[in-house]
Amino acid sequence: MSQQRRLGKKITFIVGGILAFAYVFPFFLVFVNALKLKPDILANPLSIPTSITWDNFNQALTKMNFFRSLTNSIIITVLSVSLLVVFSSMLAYYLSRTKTNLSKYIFLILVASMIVPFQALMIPFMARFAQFVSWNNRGALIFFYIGFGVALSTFLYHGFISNIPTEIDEAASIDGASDMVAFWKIIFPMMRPITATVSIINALWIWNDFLLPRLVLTNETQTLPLSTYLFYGQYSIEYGQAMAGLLLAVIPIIIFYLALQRQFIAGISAGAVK
Amino acid sequence: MNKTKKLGFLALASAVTMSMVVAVPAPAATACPKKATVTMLGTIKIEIQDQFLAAVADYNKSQKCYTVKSIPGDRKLTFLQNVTPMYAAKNAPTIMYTLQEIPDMADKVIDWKGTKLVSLVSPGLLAAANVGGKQVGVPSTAEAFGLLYNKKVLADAGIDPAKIKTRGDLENAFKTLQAKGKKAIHFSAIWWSLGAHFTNIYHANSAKTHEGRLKVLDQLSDGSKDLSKDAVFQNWLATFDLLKKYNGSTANLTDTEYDASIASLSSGNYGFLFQGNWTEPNLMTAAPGTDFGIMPLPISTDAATYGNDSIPVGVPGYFMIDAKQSTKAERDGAIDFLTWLYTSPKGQGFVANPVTKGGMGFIPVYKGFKVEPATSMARDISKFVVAGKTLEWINTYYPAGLQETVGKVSMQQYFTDKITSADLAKAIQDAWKGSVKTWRGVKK
Amino acid sequence: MLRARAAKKFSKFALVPLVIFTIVLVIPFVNGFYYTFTDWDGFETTKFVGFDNYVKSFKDPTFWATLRFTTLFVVVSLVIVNVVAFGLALIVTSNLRSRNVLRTFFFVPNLIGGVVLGVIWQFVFNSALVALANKYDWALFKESWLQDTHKAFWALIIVTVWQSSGYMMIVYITGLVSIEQEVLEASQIDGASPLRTLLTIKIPLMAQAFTIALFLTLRGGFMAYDVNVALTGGGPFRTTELISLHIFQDAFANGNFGTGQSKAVVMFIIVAMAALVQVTISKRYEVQR
Repeated sequence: MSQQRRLGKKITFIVGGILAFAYVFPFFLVFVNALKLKPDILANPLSIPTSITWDNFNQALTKMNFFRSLTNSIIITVLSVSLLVVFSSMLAYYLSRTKTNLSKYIFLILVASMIVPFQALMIPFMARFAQFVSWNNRGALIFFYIGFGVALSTFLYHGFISNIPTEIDEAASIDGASDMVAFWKIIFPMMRPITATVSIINALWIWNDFLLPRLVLTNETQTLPLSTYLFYGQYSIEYGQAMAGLLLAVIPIIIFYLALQRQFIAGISAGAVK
Repeated sequence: MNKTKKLGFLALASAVTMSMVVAVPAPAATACPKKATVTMLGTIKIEIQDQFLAAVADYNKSQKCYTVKSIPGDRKLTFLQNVTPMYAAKNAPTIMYTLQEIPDMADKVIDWKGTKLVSLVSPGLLAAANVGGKQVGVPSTAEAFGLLYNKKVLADAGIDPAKIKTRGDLENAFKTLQAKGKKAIHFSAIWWSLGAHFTNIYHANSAKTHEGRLKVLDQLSDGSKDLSKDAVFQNWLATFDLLKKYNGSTANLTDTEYDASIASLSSGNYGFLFQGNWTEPNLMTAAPGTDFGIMPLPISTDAATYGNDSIPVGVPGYFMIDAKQSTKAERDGAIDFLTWLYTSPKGQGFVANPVTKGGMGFIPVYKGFKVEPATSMARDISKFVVAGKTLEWINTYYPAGLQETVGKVSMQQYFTDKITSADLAKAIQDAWKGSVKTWRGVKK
Repeated sequence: MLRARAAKKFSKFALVPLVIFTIVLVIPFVNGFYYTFTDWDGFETTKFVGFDNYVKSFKDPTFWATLRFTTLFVVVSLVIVNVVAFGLALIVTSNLRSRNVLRTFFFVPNLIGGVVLGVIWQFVFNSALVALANKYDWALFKESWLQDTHKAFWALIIVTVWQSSGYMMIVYITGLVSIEQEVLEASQIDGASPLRTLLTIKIPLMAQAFTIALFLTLRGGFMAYDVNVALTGGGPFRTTELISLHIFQDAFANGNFGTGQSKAVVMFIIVAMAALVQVTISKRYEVQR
């Protein structure tokens, strides 16, 4: 029994290790090539750099205007994700607890909206909004992210809330707590695992998005991923700088993910104890 | 609604004022109340992006009225794909730079007529950006494409490019290179090189007169042209086959191909490359101290055939200025910046100095340039231009989307032996059939 | 009285997000639908053209080819992504000491978006693998996979799996850890093998995670755009254009906004039906607790 277990564990370890290697190898390639000069990259992308050059990173930092772009990305992502969590958890709670035809239809429309391709909306969307909002505005961008993201987030919350027994709500209302208080004090804390999932999913989407920020923002407010596109030309690609720029753009989101991951694990174990 | 109307009136009013300002030279160095930001979509192109942005920075420092800014575009998209959403968003860039899509933009941009820059260019180089009498753009430079060669490799093999006058001569040169242990040519399968430039070799040679060449386009559009019965087309096909046969590299249909072809020619292992002089900065960076030349791609076996001794020279792109969504100050700034770039000593330095000296290595097209082109390919092109041995860029007249359809599908299929030459001829005819005759000024 | 309370609750919990949703998504969608019946050129409309745009769309053979290719892509990627993701979730929730590191590794590809990812993989397929193949004489990789329609399809699948399996893994982890420990302990006391526990206890109890993951991959497959543009660009010979890219090309490269928008509407209808069927079936397997 225990020997079998140990063998199983060993196999899992080996399979996991091989897969992990496959998953990070492209990043290793990026890192290695960020340290090389363009002719060396083209000659052999797999070679280990003979002499390391940090020039690509220096060039990338200046060209991308790294710290300004980073600040913009953080502001936009943090605000959009927080508002999405607040709005969609409340909406999901309402739709899942109110068993009326109206809430059923609203939920259906939300689900249906998730399959609308952005291409189908882009031009009519822009044509309509131009009249109402002043462009080059981070606020407008956040507003759009809420509009585009609320359906998926609500869907995820909705699935989770269905598993929370309604007795908990009833107990709270007997205690005399208002809807709002009951939701924020009792229900919302119970949803930490799904909140972490919703936050990560939305943060990644918003952080990496290109099309929408490019339509709405200009240089001063440009986001980090937007700035990495400076290295891709019509014909030629500055591979070394692009790889360095890519790493610089990815490091913040990796840090963000690692930071949130701890909370995420806490959320998971809290859920398991329950 | 009322507000929209008011805005529309304001836009109209400023457009009217604008045209007056353009006609009357602006008074020198007037005070400007507020610094206007002039946006430009992308730069001229990535190869010389650093140099262009350096010119922009220098301009921004040189005066107090305007700030020029480049907004990055998405390289995966065409100019029109980039600019259409921006227009829809009422966030159009002030300066736009393109070639193919000029007819699409004609009603949205200012008329350059009467400006200083227009008075300094020869009419021939303005033609492609003249839409129904309106001068919608001004040229950036002249460019040429043809057979590029590594001067040292050819000299070592004892080949004189000036003596290659026919397709047969070219094959002999290829054989000589191979005998010396070199690879003859890197024939690139990049879709735009095949779809725009290589197809132009046929179109530019198809008739001796401009009118005759446009007639071929008319016939293709009407569906009355049978390419398989066209002698020039047959020569062109034979040349296609020749380059394929002696191609020393493997067909690469992907985005890495451009850089790979630069690496090949600069490595000293290859003799030739079918490309344009825009590669010169890349080549010089890759192999400092090596000289590269440009020569015609002879498609006929008879040296006296029209076009065999000439290279296609044209304007790679025109600057246009938005008239619909920009303010008067922004438009003034755009004109001021471009005029500075091509007429001031400092701007001219950025334009014509070689890349190694921080310039863009452009061949000057405006009169009064104090800076002479310094690179070997630029000098070669000047010689062809002076001798009148130039061919037209008929690809400027291709309808939008055609070079993509032809280049990405049938040309690449033929390149990789997926279809026969008869299929290729038919595919090209099909792609043209029914296209709107924009080259005749017909509106879509 | 009751009605007033319901209205108050609605305005407190649901009104604001629904208003934003309507402004940002519903109105432009309806607008775009309206445009398909006009001669819209991306800037303005001058007249109604009835069903002309739809007729033209269905007469376009490349549209049908694209639909076939997209369907194949969706089915294959859906199966592989979910099998891999569930496997990863099992590895990562096992009692392995390295599980936290592994989870981070598996998730990392998700941190990168769009074109950048495509360039990395183009680099892998066009340069790295070809260089390796030439060194060790592997016939399979000597020619870049992106130059052959069938191999380019598998390249798209590989990159899609690489990118999104980590994402779906998270969904499955959430499902796996939501299973009560007592249930698992009970099954262990009963002497059930790990495989049996997996099949009869874990999977049924986390059916909801499957509903979500399958839906997300279905939607992701139909809407795949970034990977398509960045990796193959529709090539070789425009044989790997997925529907989103096809619509984009039609509208923006060829200037056919009317047909582009009508194809988008057709695509929406297809995806809506597929998703509805999938969610209805999956929901049936969910255990009500």
